[in-house]
Amino acid sequence: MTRREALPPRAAEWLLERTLPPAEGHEIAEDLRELFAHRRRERGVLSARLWYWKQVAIFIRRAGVFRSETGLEADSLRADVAYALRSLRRAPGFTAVAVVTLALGMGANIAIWSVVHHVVLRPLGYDAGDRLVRVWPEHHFTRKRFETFRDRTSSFETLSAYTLTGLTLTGGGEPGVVTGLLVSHEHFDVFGRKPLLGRSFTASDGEPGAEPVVIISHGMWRQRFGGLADVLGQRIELEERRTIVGVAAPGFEPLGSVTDVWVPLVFDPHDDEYTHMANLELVAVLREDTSTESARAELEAVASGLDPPLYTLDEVPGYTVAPFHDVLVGSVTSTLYVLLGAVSLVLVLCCVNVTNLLMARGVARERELAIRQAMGASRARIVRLLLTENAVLGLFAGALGFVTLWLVSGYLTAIIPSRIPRGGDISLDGDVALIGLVLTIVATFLFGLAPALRASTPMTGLTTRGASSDKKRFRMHRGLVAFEIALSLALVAASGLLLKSFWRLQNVDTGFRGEAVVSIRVSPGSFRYPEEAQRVQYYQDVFEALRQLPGVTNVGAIHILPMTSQSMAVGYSPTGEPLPADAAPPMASYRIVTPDYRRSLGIPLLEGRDLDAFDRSGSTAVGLINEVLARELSPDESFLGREFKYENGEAWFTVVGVVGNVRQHRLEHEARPEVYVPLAQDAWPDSMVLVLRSTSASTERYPLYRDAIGSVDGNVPITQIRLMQDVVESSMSEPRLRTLLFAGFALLAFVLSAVGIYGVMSYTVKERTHDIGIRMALGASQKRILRDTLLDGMRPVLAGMGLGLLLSLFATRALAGFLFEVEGTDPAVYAVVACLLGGVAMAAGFIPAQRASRSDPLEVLNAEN
Amino acid sequence: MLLAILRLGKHSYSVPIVLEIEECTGKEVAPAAVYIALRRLEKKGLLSSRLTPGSKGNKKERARRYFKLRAAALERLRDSRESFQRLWDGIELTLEKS
Repeated sequence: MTRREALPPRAAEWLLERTLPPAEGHEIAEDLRELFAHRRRERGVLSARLWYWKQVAIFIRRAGVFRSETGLEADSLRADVAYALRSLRRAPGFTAVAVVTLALGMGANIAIWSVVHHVVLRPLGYDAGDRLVRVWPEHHFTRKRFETFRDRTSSFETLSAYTLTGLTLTGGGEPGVVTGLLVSHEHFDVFGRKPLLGRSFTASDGEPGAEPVVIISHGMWRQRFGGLADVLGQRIELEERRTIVGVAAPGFEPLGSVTDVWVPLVFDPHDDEYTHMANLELVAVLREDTSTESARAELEAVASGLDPPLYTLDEVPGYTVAPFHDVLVGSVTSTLYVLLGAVSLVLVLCCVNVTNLLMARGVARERELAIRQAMGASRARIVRLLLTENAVLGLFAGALGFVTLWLVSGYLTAIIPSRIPRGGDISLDGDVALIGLVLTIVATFLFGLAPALRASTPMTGLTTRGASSDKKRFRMHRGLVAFEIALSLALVAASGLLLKSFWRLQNVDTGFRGEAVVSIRVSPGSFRYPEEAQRVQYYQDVFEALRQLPGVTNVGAIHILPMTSQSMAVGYSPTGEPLPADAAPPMASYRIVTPDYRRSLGIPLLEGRDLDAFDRSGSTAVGLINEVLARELSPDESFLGREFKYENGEAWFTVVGVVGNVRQHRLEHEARPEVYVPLAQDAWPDSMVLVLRSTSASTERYPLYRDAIGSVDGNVPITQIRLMQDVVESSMSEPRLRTLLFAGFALLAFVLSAVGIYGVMSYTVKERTHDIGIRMALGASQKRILRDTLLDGMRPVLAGMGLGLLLSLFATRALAGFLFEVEGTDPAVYAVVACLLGGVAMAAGFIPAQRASRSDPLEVLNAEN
Repeated sequence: MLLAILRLGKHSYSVPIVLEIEECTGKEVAPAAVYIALRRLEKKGLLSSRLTPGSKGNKKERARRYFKLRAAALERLRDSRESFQRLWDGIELTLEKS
């Protein structure tokens, strides 16, 4: 034997000593040399050399352990993860069911959380942050009041006014109506966003006689001006010729919805609008040390201390100062939180299911864990091992949930109703991923801690069959099933209530017949048609042109279409006597219509006559009222021919007809008092919605309608061509989405509880095979075994249902605001839900019970021995 | 591991420990695993070790680290023997039958 053969491979030894820390490296190298010699003697040089290389490779792989003290921990964590992966791979069925169950819950949760995060929780991102507030009195501000407050209060760093308006854009392509904000010059300062190009407004832009200017949105700049820098100084026809002085920063949508143009408010004390037109809303930045409460107090003090007084009434209206963020998203917050509650329940359900699975698996692994304990693994060590397994499971599920969500996110964002403020911001970004991670960790503890603690209880594996721990385990499984059923029942009941409510909503009589009716907004505008008579003539010409089209049976127009969010109301006197000046008058919706409107929309005429072509400017002022109003004005006799009066007792018009009630805003809101006056006598609106009834409502006819309207005046913008049915549908988008989501959650709850019950029953049956075998051997019939097993399995289900009923009576209170004509305690819904859930539970329990009843006693008892 | 050290008595340094375990289990053992286990047990307070200085002339007298069981380890061994005993209770009968 050469000297070379007597020693381990030199390269390997060199590698070993470089890999390990010097002190230990040397010691280990010496030991390995000794072992090498031993091996060489026993198995020959080649085998020993191979062995040596293998050992060096192992040392290199685990070098971290020797390098640092903490390395030991890291290494064992890595080992745990590797072990977890191996053990999960060994049980593919369990792993798949657990991961998919959790992924469903996680995906749903991440989705709702991402909406809540982007809409409600995330700050608006303006410089002023929390100090950005909205200020409003009971009614809107006039320009005069705004200026008074701006000059006399000290609570605000900046105070600005705005009002939303539609402006007609003509010249250069299709005429259109754009969304505009009329703003005081402080507007851009309040939000702390300078325009991307050009300048923001200055005080002089709002002076009477100043050159008309406009700032356009980033989107409009890109679309209409191709994003070219020379846009500044160009002029656009925005009801009057305006010079573009700026382009707003991208994404600047202060009201949470798209704004196309900003136009300065003109403050002219000699103009009637200045003192009378109360249409302004205020946004302000509070001073650093001022609270909303003290700002509110100051506004009231200023308002009441003015001389001459700002208000003609004795009473100064109350003011509200609220964080801008709350005002912007307040309307959807409750819906989102209720959804969040529901989806959290779904996650808990998923976790309970997985807990059950893990517990069942824990039993199967008792022996393995007991051996680990016997070998010296501490309880903490085993808990850690199991938690690592759970964490791996949770991470897989979280990742799967996130990826699935990402894949379907395009579809999901499409179903978010456009009414949700900041809805455009919703996306799956880093924040959402972080939320997903947090949810994963929470879920991991939720589903994993109890099984881990339980499985690691000292020597669980050594208890003998039928001992008390078995009973405890059964109790725990059943408890979990009961809990699961309780949660499911609450979810399904909530969904049932919403479904019933939605069904009721769909069957609400709108008061009109919207089939085969198309609505088209036309905006001739007061700029193009300054005189009222011109506008009336324009509409008549349009009606004439449309009537020529084949299939068109009626054409009318109204200035505010029913079932939209717009509204306009007037105060009236129910008795005809003037009301005291400080009393709040009853309000009636106020609609300007053309004679054929009622027939076009199919609203029934209950009494009197319709409006007609003889109701002109200059003739007696006439109008129609709806049934609610008629009953209110004169409950016992007809109100026809009598005068409808304003709240100050002044006569407005003579009532010539009573028409059926129409739901004005939403299906869930009862019809309110309403008046209809003829356009010919009240032709101020610069845009109207045409209501066109034809023999068939088909979108293919839209171009025909456009052409006919265009033939009268090609420069009048035509917008919002919609089927009346779609208008009604879209008013239901929020309840529909809510109902849809809840129904989805409920379905998930059904499936989860079915799986849960099936799992536990199967497990119970398996554990009791021995007992069942004995019973069968003693003469119990199959039928009897089936019945007993099933009944036994149904006990926790019944308990869960009882608990669930209590839970849902409490939980559905949160839904009260969303229910329409359905009580939170609707017995029919609960009965159906209980039957459904019971049926599902029964079906899920039947299979294992049947399996139990079919087992062969001989086989069972043999297997036991 | 603890058993091997116990059996080896005063000769218990890494090389004989590896060989002892291999002999008892009939399987090859990676020395790296043994080193890691020894470190871990020492950290847990179940083992103590001392390094003997080697003499330069004699190759066999190189520096070696000898391990010794501490009281806690003995207690663990006792517990674990009882556990095993319990694990086997009842099973032996079955094994013999089959």
